[in-house]
Amino acid sequence: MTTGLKRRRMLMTLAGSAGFWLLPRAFGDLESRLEQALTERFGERRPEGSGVELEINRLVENGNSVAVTVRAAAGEPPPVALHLFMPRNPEPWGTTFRVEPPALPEFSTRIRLAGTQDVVAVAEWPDGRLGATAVAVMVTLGACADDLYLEF
Amino acid sequence: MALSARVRLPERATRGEVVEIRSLVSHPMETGFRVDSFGRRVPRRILVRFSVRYAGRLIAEMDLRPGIAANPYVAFRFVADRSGELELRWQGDDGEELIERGQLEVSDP
Repeated sequence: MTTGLKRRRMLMTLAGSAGFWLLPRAFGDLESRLEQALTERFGERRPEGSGVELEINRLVENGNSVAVTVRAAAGEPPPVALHLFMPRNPEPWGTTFRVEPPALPEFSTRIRLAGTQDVVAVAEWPDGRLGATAVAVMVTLGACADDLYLEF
Repeated sequence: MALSARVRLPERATRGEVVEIRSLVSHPMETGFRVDSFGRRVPRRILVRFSVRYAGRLIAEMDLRPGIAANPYVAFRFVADRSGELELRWQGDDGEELIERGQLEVSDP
């Protein structure tokens, strides 16, 4: 075997093992991170169906500031709260917007996205029922890409 | 550091009209997850609560977390059902507070 091939094989092995160690932290457990965030907010309750709209660009260049609008679908009674979750962020719980008439069950804000992920909006009704909508957002440059995350 | 806000509050409306509040606060929303160039963790400093009172009633209240972008922008709408004061209030995790007020005049159509 030539030294070139040896070198290539070694590099590939290194790359492979790096991937093995990095991937599970970065991507592997998004579902369980979301589950944990939902449990912290809602206990045993889980979203059933939708009833909430989530407006957000599907392709984002800069994760530092991403415009988002959460709006409950028309219907009575209106929800008492709208929640946002970003499972891949260091803290997946993004915000909770509690609302009472005459305010309408909708809000717009700007969020950070640490990377490509499914952003999840959850509406909560007075009887405790939850509804959710997820939008897959591709992020070219994550929030704080120029900084090192301690957690990630 | 003193906080400052740019807000757009409705001043006049006819009863039943849907009006909008838009707000933007100058604030770094430091997440507490970043490290500086010496490897030291930059301490968290965020606004944690935004609340809106309209004619004495709390109509909206928002928990802000580190996932909200720097210089938090929040907009929402409500039905103008009576004349009264609008009070927007932001609270930070270090005890800082900012209040903006405006008057909404509601006339019958």
